[in-house]
Amino acid sequence: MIRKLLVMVCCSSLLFACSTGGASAPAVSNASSALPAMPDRTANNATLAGIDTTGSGVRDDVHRYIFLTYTSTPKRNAMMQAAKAYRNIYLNPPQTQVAALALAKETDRASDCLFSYAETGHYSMMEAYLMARKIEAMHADTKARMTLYDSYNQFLDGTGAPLGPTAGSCDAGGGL
Amino acid sequence: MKKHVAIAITLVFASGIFQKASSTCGVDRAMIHINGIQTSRSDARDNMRALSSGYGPTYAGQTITYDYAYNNSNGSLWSSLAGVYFQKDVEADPDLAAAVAYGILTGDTSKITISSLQASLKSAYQNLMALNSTALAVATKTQTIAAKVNSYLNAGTDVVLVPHSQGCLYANSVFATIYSGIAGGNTRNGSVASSSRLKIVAVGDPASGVAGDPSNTSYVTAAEDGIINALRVQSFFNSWTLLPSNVKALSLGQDPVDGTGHSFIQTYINPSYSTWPKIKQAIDSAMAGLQPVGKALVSGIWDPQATGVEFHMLVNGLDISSNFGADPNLSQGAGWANYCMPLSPTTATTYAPVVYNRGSVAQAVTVAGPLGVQNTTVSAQSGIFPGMFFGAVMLVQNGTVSPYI
Repeated sequence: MIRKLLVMVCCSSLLFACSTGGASAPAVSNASSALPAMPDRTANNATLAGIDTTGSGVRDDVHRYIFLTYTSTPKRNAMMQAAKAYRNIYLNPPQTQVAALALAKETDRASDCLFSYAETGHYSMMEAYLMARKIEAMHADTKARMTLYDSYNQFLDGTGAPLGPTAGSCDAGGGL
Repeated sequence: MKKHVAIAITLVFASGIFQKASSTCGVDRAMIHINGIQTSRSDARDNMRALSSGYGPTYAGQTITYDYAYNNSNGSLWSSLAGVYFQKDVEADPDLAAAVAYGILTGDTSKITISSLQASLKSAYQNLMALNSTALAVATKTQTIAAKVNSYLNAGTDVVLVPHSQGCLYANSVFATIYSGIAGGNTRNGSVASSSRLKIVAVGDPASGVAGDPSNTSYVTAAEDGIINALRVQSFFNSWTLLPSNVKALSLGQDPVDGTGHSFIQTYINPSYSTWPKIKQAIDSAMAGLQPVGKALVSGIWDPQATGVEFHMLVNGLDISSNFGADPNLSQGAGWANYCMPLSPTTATTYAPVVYNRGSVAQAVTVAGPLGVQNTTVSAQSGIFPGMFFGAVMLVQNGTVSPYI
């Protein structure tokens, strides 16, 4: 049942991606041909950061999900930036609020990148939000990872800062 | 005969405190979000990003600063739930694992069919939201958030808090903390006196009142909000009550996006639902209710016609120099920069001295006065030039600046 639901969600995401890919949308990336192989689940879950064989900074299974789910370049670029930022939390588990804030700075930039594409009409704000939550959840997908993410968020309790503009938040090559 | 007044101005050039202005002080406003439980910091920040996109960068031409105070009320809830629900079979299934993680992180059970997890999430929601007012009032986080709000108020920027869910309890507590001299404030019954500088627009509100709003109308709770409705049932067995729902989110034929009807983005500020125009209207009303008299334009001008060195100080264009001996027939000379000074801080603030020029001894500027009453004393004291002393104290009453000495 859950699989069916997820398939429906994925299908609707694909449909939405296609429907928003109008004449002004960026070209579709062909990078899926260079996708990493799906890692062994047990091996991938053996460490907090998981397996990254491409050196992209993104977990292989997440890398595949992004390129197989999203067809437009803005979505792929923004999601890859977000995936890299979230993986860094698991790669460098913070022990202090200062360390957690440094990691959060990158997830903030990635989130701003996702929203910047929404602000320029490539997709809706709602979709930007749901993509952010999806990539966040994909990285907290084991007991150990969820526990770490819990700890990371507890370090950040009470923090917050004024929002800046989203422009310029995408990594080089990922911006509009 | 002109008295030659030698002075050095010591106003600080603290970034964000004194903003240069050409002729008048602009009015700045801030909107601060306090999230509810089951929310990651990224989620909380995205809430505010979406709200800023929906409401826009200005109100009546005045810039809005969007900020947030992350409320992590989970304790070790996520770790606890992960311990129960991330069994080997779940971890081995990437789709199921991601769905469970999503459910735990967001509290949205719509993509999970594990009934015990749904029950655990609902139970956790209700228990965390049932925190009593005493616990919140003394919580370090309340003080932290109050300090953030105070930093805006002290800088002359008025604030609208837009809390969601449990964040509404914190917002009430923050209001009571800032206005601790006003009786009656607590987290569940926020019927304390109103403020012209701080407003609350509560979203998905589990409280029985909105602080600073005696009419208790500055909130939006949807009839379809499953979390608040569940809490409402629970409240029958407790001593507290909840504000009634005041909007129906869904139109006929519309389906809910999130499983709880409680999500800040997916339900409340969703532009497809009736909740968003009501929230926007409530924010408009809160913004209109602010009376931004929090800044005065303080200008210093050197008079080149003086025989010696003469300085004039103007507050909102009023030359108060005669109060300390300078003649009133000011001629516009070499100007010293204008500064917008906060006039109604919540706590006394003394700014470190800066030597303006002329080699004088610098002294500090003190801004003090009670919030809300708008009866504030601003003393801008200069340093000492050989044998001479300059000083000025301005009294601000109800937004009108007058010389004090």
